[in-house]
Amino acid sequence: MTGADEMGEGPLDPTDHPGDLLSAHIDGELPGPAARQVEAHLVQCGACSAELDALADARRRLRELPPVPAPPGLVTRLVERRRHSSRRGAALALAAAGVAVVVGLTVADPGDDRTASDPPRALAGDSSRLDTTATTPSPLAAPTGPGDAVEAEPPEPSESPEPGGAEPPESPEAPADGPDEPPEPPESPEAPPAGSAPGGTTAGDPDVTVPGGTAPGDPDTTPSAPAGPMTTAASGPGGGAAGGSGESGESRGSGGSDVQGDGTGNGTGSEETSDPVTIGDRLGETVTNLLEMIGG
Amino acid sequence: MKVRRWSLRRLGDAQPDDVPSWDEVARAHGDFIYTVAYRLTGNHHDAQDLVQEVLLRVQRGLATFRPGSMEAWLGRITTNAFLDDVRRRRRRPVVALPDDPDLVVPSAPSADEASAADTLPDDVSGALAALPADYRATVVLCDVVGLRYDEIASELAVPVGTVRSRIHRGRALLRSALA
Repeated sequence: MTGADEMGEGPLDPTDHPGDLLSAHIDGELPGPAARQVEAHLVQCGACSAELDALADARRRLRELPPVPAPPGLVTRLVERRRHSSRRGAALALAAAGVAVVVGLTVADPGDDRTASDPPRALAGDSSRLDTTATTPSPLAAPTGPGDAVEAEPPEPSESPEPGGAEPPESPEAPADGPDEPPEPPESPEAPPAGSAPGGTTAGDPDVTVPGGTAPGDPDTTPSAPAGPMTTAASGPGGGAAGGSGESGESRGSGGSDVQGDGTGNGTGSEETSDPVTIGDRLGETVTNLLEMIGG
Repeated sequence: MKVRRWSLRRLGDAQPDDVPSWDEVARAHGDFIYTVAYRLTGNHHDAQDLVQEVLLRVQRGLATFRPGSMEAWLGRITTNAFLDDVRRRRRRPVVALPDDPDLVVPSAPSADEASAADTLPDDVSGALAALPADYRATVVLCDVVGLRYDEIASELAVPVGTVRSRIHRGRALLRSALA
């Protein structure tokens, strides 16, 4: 034991017993000088020499312990379970993102003057194009868009405008379509992702719908301001969901990691909103609460 | 519908480059993970729970795996998951109701001593399982996973001198138990 603190510093007294240096010596973990000193001590100390043999024997027996095969079916069972939880996690992620978009827009509206004023201008100037966009099968396109972005190209910053821009097109249509449907993901994790993001976006606040819809509908003429809240709203939940679910249950963990890629991709290209802190805080709370409700 | 299709496709995709998919890791190295888990926990029940937790961590961390020894990487994940669990069990009684004997009694010993109670015909296994958790984890990383002292020190966030000491005492205790 006495030699434990002396390795590498000053010479080891030949009369000192190497103590725990013995095991390190067996493992070849001692620097040259220390190893030589231990060797020199072993020659003259029968007790340490005997201990070295006993330690070497213990080490050998540990290393000869046979492998322990996993019980039959354990790995297969866990793999299958992961498949199911991944599926559920994906649904949860989409649901969380959809609701977060709604919340983000709602929160952004009162404080953001640009959101209220700019978009109507664009809408009036190019209403025909918006109508065209709205009549396309957007309810289908919207869920697929974010999903693919999450799945296929999380790390590509160039994709970042895509998720934000993919959802709004059906916003103009939604007030007529599903304004009465508030997003209620906790009830059934599978269904809401498809319905809540597009329908829910507008249902929460019809006034806000307009700005969101304008941004993607006419990227050339629309000022970038309206796109800001939208993009941030879409990217915010990604980070929030990932962070919130990372330490929790297994199904949530997988959902979180899925969304994480989305958050990263969006975050890179997104612009700052006028009130990012408030929005971010509320989004984080909402997503966390949502995940807890679903998970529980 | 959309969600389901996406999930299935996602699971079927191979990881880019030479990073194996999670399924491949689970199937190819499941026995190794189980071996380490069993040496750490000392019983099959806890080993299965630990394997489940390890595979979850593998799924999260696979993207960060850099080419190298997959087994060393898995061994580190397994040991850290084990130690996290040991610490959680130690904390639990304090957080729970300290006055309730039913809650207090089974907690702390279950990680260390309970696994020792579940000893095996193999005396070395039993002696290893009876070591204090910190010693056991260090010895397993050294003698089962095959890491060097500096790797173990870095993984456990302790000085190399502590690793040396734990390995020495762990083996010495083992030797005494077998004598």
